[in-house]
Amino acid sequence: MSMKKELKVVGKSVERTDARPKVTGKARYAADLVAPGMLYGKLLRSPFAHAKIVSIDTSKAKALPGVLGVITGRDFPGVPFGTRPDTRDTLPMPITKVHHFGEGVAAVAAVDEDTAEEALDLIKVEYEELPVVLTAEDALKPDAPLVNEFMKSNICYTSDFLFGDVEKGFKEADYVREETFSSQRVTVGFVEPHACLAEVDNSGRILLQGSKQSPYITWRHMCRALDIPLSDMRIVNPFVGGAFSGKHDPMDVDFAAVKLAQVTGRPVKIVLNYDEVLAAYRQRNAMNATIRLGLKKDGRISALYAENILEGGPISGIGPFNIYYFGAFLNIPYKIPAIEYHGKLVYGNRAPCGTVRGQEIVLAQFCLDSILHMAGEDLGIDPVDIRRINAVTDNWTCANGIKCDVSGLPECIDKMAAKIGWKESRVNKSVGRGIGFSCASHPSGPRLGGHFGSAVVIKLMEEGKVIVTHGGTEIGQGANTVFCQMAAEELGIPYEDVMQGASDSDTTIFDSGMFGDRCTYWDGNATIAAARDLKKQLAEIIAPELKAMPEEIEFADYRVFVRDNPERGMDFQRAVRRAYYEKGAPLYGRGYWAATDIDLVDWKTGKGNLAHGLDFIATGIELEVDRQTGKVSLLRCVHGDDAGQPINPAMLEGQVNGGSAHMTGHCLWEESLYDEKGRALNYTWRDYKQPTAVDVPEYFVEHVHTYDPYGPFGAKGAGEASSCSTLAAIANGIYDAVGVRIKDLPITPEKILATLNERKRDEQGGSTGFASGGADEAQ
Amino acid sequence: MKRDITLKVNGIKYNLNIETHRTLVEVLRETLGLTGTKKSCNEGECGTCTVLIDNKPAASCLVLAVEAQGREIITIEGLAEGTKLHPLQEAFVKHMAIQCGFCTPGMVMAAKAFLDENPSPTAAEIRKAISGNLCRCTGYQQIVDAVMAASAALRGEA
Repeated sequence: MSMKKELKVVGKSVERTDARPKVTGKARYAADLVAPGMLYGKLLRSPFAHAKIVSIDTSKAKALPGVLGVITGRDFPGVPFGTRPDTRDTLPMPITKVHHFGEGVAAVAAVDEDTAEEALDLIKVEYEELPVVLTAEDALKPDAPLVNEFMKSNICYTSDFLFGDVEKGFKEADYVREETFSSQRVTVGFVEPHACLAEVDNSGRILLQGSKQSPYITWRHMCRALDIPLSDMRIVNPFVGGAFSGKHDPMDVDFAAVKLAQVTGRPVKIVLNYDEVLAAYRQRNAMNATIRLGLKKDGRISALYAENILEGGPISGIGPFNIYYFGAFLNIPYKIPAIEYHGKLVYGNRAPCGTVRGQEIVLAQFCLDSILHMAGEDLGIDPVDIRRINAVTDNWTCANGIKCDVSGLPECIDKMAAKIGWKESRVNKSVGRGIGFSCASHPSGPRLGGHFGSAVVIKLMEEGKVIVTHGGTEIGQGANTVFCQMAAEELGIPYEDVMQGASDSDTTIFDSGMFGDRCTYWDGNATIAAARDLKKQLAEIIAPELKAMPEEIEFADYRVFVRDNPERGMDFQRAVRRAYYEKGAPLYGRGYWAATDIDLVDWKTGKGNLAHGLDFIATGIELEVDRQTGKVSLLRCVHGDDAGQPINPAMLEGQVNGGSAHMTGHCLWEESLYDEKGRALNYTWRDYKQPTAVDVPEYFVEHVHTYDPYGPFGAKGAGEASSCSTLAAIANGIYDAVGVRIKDLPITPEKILATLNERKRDEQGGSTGFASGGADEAQ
Repeated sequence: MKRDITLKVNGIKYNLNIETHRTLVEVLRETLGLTGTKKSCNEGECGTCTVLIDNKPAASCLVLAVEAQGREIITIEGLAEGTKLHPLQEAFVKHMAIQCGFCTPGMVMAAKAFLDENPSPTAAEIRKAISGNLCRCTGYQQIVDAVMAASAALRGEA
């Protein structure tokens, strides 16, 4: 893998394997599935954010003609599940109390949707309201009500670490700056609402087909909470309409469909309407962070101290990982010799959080890059230079042990500064216009505990085509396409001859899931291993005929031949036929990969090299701020990304653009709002606005090529780094345009105007209180 | 209350007996099995259910099926001719304008209606035309590029 060679398929922007079914409407998503005798399920939702369930009377609903089943939390074994053994705090559906507005408390299955709706109206739930915990501050009050009944405190998880000599780092610093940052609740925002179809066969075995991002996680958690062995459930993934970390774990939708299918003996489909998703499903943690940064006069960072509290709703989900991740990714993309971090994840009565594209690295790098920008300004160092001075380079080991093998970041910075016209903009700057700059890094899939690996099977068909099945999940990012490219490359056959197999727990060796930019890297390496295994088997069959040893057999250009004597060989298809027809040998290549050479990170102490393949990005954004209205218009955005060797450059470009556009909403206006009783306020897309085509800037992406020593074909995981650089880029750009620094997201026109007006009042009053100023103030 | 109606979808007439309150998207997906048209918000905000009614884009979740009688309805399934994709579909494939694909049918239909009206658009006009269709994956850039390329192809310039 370390040797570069001429590539035929990898590195080319070949057509996506799923482009045609998707563009013709033939791709089947969970909501499109039907089964004979299928019933329609619906969930009754809690009108309260926190309340005891005194009683649930389902008798009238059960008696309604056309209703075949009604269930509540009591129909499940009462076994909680969770990401870690010490965070099993979630039930399929609640039994004793509801924890957030819109939580499903009962579910019905009926012959059609109208009847199911009508049945919901007939269910009587008696609640006893409890005081709510809305914010992290509420959660940590000594007399705060307890949110999760499985836990003894509202502190869900903590992560604390100290690496390097922080005290010395601050003592030796020429300049220290401390700032607080906050970030709001935002929805994940995939366009396909949660949906699934559950069936139970004669033996009681469950088949679940749902819109899942990491079906293995869903499968394991569901079997635990249903108290059944893994073999009693099969999970098949249809096409998935986006996920962005919002579809990892099982939802009440999945549990309810399964239980209703068990109760009724009929297939049950549940498809949510989007208002349900916005009100009651996964959001990004609310953040309150304080960062202190020490620097030398020349701009080098000497130490960093950070405290962070994330409020993540009533269940832990993958939150414990998030609170560690935030601290871990304060270590990168800048060189920080000493770091101290104290992180707390707390429970609350808003909607449950998982995470969103880029995970909590998005928030960490918003804080880090923003404070570096402020410090640089005070030290009189140009914003591009301050990043260049601190940028991680090749063979850098972070204070916490994360090792960066290859960094294209310095080159990304230089190229994007030139592309956005940074230097020119300093000379000739128009009023209200600004440029924001930011950098970020993201790993190629962390190594977590439990089952952690990736596996691929390549079936060779007798006609010479192959089917690749893998446990990574295609959720739109293009995983299937890159694995087919890699298989074709390694086997020396055309890309068109590689087909994608179904994601099915009966035939796919399952995988820890699709997150953290891990699939290209982990499953990619497994694909290469599977292709090599297949070649080895075929070579053993063909070698005698070619009068060579199996190790001497090479595969390229649709031929199988002797390495040192390429004339002696045969057509690939002929070789396959030899195997099938003369030996009767069906061939399956098997491959797996796990980064066992790196550390299993302790999330509580944060020590360890958690991932290979750190990818990097430098982002520049040009924007305009209307001084009358405070409105921000994003004009143009450039990203220079180091994803190692991109497997499919055009597809990667779409990932980079998409991650960045996603965060424009988070940065400027998106927010899931709640009233004082924890009831969701803006849970329709009429009231919760996601970025449209007119809201986002024109994008430009340049891939800066490096070669990762461990990645498949030199690739790094990629796609999420742009999410991590965008918040700070926009915030820095607004500051550059009008001298307004907003550190509590979202940066709404109201906040910008308030600061501008305050400044105007100060200026009119002759005050000299306003110290910092944007570049246009300096003119 | 049920009613007999005739719907003309993708050039084919269907005689149906349906509840009058059922929306066009429901009848397309559930009665006719045309699941290419997607449903997400069911209130006309997301654009995934966009179809053409007499060549105008419409959110089919906001139209009752009975209202669509006597009109020409085109869905995503009606764009390609056999395996030959419509130039817009070709451009979406070529420009990687598709990721998860859930917004794609609605996006393509909105773009089709727009290009029929405005065959030589600017990028800004394209952005405005598809601003009723949410996409969380792509950042829209490659979609805009695809629609621009398709407009050239449809004008016979590419």
